[in-house]
Amino acid sequence: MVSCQHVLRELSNYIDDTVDADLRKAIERHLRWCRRCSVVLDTTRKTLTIYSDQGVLEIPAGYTERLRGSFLKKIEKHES
Amino acid sequence: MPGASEQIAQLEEVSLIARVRSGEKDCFLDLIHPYERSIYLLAYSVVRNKEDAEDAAQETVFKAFQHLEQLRSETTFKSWLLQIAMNEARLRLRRDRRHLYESLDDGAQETDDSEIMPRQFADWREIPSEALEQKEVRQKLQEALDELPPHYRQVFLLRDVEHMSEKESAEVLGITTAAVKTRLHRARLQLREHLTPVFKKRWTDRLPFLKGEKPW
Repeated sequence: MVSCQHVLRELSNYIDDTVDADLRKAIERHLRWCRRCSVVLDTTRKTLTIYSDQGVLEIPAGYTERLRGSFLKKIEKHES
Repeated sequence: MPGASEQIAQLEEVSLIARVRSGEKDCFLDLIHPYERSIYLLAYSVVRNKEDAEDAAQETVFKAFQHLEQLRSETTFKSWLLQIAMNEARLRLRRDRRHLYESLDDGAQETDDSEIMPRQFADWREIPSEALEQKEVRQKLQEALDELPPHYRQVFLLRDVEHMSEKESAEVLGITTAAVKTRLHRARLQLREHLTPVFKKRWTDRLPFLKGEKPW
């Protein structure tokens, strides 16, 4: 049997699938009856899904154009 | 193992690097194009203001162009580029007197071995994808990320937003892969804590005739 503390300590490794088979099974058994750990796992996964959508973090309007413009200007200056 | 499309992209990148090195300067903008966003987001995660982040991004691109000869085959172009971005952003943070008393990264809090234990156990409502397109929700997501300590925020960004490997993330940040692992675990748990009040189910959600007020 693994404790809640143990499960939560291994949560990230469990999500990344880097725990060994025995520990994985033990965690899964724990999750079947422990609502709190299940909720933490589920909501952590949701957190990752939300941020893995690249567009969710915004960049300022016109950033790319300014970046490119600045590069071309710097190159020109550098060469003259 | 990278997928077929990633392998094609890598081959294209190698060819673009060779072309820039042989004098085709215009190809440089194509080379950095896939990473323009990543550069900004990483710089912003350090300096936390738009002007300095853009300034660091612009300098990163120019320095990467000037020093492309120094790129070694054992490092990916992306992690090399983001290392430059990290340095440029840290430089601006040091220059900025407003942050005189703020730790630069440094994992000063890393010595604190106490585990991050969840305090929020409320389940979340289903989050429709349209909700994530709303300005107010996006602002909350940015704020939640900004609230993380800098060394957690940067690891989270590289691993879970940019999907870089542990090794690449460690290279960019100049830390060990073990530190990447520890910081990522803490970052994920803390971020989940910050988002729970935004997305949690309310008791009224369980009653079809009493809908709670949603943040979207």
